[in-house]
Amino acid sequence: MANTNVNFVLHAHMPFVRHPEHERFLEEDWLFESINESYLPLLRMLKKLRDNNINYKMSICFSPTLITMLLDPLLQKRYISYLKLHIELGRKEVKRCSREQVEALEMAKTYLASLELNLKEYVSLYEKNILKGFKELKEQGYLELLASAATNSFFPVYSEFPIAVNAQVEVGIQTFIEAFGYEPDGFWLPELGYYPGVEKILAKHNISYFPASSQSVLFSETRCDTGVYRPVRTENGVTVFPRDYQTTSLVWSQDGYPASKEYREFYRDIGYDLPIDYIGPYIHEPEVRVFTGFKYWAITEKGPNKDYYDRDKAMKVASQHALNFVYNISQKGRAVRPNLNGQDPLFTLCFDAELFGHWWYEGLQWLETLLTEQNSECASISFISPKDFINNEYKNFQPIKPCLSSWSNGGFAKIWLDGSNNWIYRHTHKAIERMVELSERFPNQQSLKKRFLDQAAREVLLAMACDWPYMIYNDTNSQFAKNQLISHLANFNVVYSNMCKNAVNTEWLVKSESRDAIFPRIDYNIFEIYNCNNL
Amino acid sequence: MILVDIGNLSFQELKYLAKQEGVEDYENLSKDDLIDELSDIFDIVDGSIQLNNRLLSTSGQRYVNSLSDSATQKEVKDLPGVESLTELYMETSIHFMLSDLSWGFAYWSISPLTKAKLLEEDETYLQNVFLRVTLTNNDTNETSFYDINVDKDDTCWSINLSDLGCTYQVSLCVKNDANIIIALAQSIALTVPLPYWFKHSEELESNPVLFNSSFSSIITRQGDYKDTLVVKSVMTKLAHGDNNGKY
Repeated sequence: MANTNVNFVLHAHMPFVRHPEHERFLEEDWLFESINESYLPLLRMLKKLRDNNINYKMSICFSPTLITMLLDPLLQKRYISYLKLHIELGRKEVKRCSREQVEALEMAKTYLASLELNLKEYVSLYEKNILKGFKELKEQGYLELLASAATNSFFPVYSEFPIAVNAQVEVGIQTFIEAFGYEPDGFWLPELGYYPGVEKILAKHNISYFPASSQSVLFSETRCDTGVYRPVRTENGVTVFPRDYQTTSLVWSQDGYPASKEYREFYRDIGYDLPIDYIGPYIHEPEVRVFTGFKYWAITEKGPNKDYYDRDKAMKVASQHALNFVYNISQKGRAVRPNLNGQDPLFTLCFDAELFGHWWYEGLQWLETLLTEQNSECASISFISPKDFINNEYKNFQPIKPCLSSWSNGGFAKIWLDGSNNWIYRHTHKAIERMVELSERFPNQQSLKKRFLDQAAREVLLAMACDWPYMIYNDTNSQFAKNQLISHLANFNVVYSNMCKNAVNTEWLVKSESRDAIFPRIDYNIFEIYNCNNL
Repeated sequence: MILVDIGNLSFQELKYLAKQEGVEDYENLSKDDLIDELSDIFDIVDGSIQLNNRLLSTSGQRYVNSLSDSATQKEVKDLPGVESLTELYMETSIHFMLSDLSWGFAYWSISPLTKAKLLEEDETYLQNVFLRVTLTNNDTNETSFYDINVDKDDTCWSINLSDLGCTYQVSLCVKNDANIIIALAQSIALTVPLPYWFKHSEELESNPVLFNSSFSSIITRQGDYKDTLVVKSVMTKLAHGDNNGKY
């Protein structure tokens, strides 16, 4: 009989990258790699479990920028081109490996088969809209879907501007409803970034729960009797599911499962290893080496000496790791139970969806074993739906005042206010102030001016994405991140400076709408000050 | 910024605007007719545009068409109107955010107008710019402050927050040689909580189950923990406490 509950949440997100002005754009590959290696294989695995009568429950949040990109015809078309190009590479690889590198032949065949299956399912089964598959699983009771902020904005650095946070929430929910056809119950705070008061904005939009980091509860001024092993509720009644960092770190840490030597090495890819005259057509011009997804080596050890990847062996290890994970949760559940006043513990575990399949190739095998095992008769853990859990146990949740927190390193907002990226907020805050000014000065416009102002609202939201400061902090693609950020701010400034002169730049508008084609039904009036009264 | 008269728009653009503005039969109108129709719609009166009952002097320059050079039809590379980001904005303000429970970050600007006024009054004011951090204890309402001297060219600062359980507000101040202080701007107030377990770590020391159900959750299996002031403090207290190695 299960007596430890697990609330398993995946967060699928990609920053908004869409450049129709280029035939191929390097950073658009992030989306294609994720669809290829995570989203489609995840969907396949979840459907397989369903078809095998495995009764699982888990939650997924698709960020609004990702939803937009998954539904965008241009990117859909480009993904198909990406698949076809990589299938062509796969066929070449099977031939090359059978001639020159037989140790890698099985994996080359595996990748090719996976690409061909992806193309078939993407085009024929999902008709280019993979969200349909997830929606189907939601309707069948396997998945719960969470909404999120419009552009993955880290809310604590915008606490001075509840109107902007409200706009992020409202547009995020609007995007969710358009994609899935119903109002969400749960909300993913980007980076689990919580600041006291954000629950008022969530409650205004009928959000009943959100996951948060461990620190939200542990550093509360209120004595929380149940630690992070039971949900709590805020003063206005929104339920908080505090994440268990310790259990999560079995996976998500430097020495977590994915670092095991049998697993596939992510960073060794033929895009970097093979001669340019062979790999040239499959990387970016001019000779910019990129990941192709064809990786033949195991992690083995630190340094360049690697063993060939043995898929069967690695998948067995992944299954063992899943069983070890179940064991750890069960043990921890027993350890914390005496302090829970007879109530069953609940572990909230949150991960980036792209970890599974893309970064951690065997991660989907691990997850499949986990979901299957919890279904076995002797299992002592049970994966639950947060909504069901609230319906059954809400009255037992302790009311507390959560603390400022996030799931980032350190648990608060430090990496978003680092010396490398704190210059950003002078500009994004000013853009918000100016957007509020525009909506006050030019309320309820029609036609061209409305479109101009709507575009300004889009650009402000896009500039607020926390992906840009994160990449700058992490020094990964930092120049790209700076360019994206500055471009969105500069676009906003075009509208602001033009509107101040009572002008509309028509050609710019048309081009901007075409380039930053996101949130088609946005209404700039969300930045009017009355929207944040009492928030 | 390139501003053009509505009369300088291309025929295509005029048609586009007319369609947007709902001009009937716009496809069959001549260029001059389109200009007349659009001029009526946009209330261009003697070179001014009426907006919300206010007359804005724009010399009829309502529409900006700037991405294509009308003579050569070539695209203009540097987008007119896309200003590069300014380092500072022309305003006097200060903004304050919390990095964690022991650090905050403030950025500010002093407008040229404010600077000019200060210089006019006493040129020594701008030699002594400082941040006044005011903290109010959330329990007792007692208020105190500390000052952080900054250079006149500084525009941001990471601020160490000395106490938990306080509400912080940062003021941007100047003072002259006669010690007269002027507060130029004040940030919003932000509250740093006093975590319950920080105040009551002895409860954790004496109760392993309680510790397990709370703080063990932020310790990895390797024994690393989330490195924050509060955790460090609790850990230090635990390490020095008489817990008989229960942990």
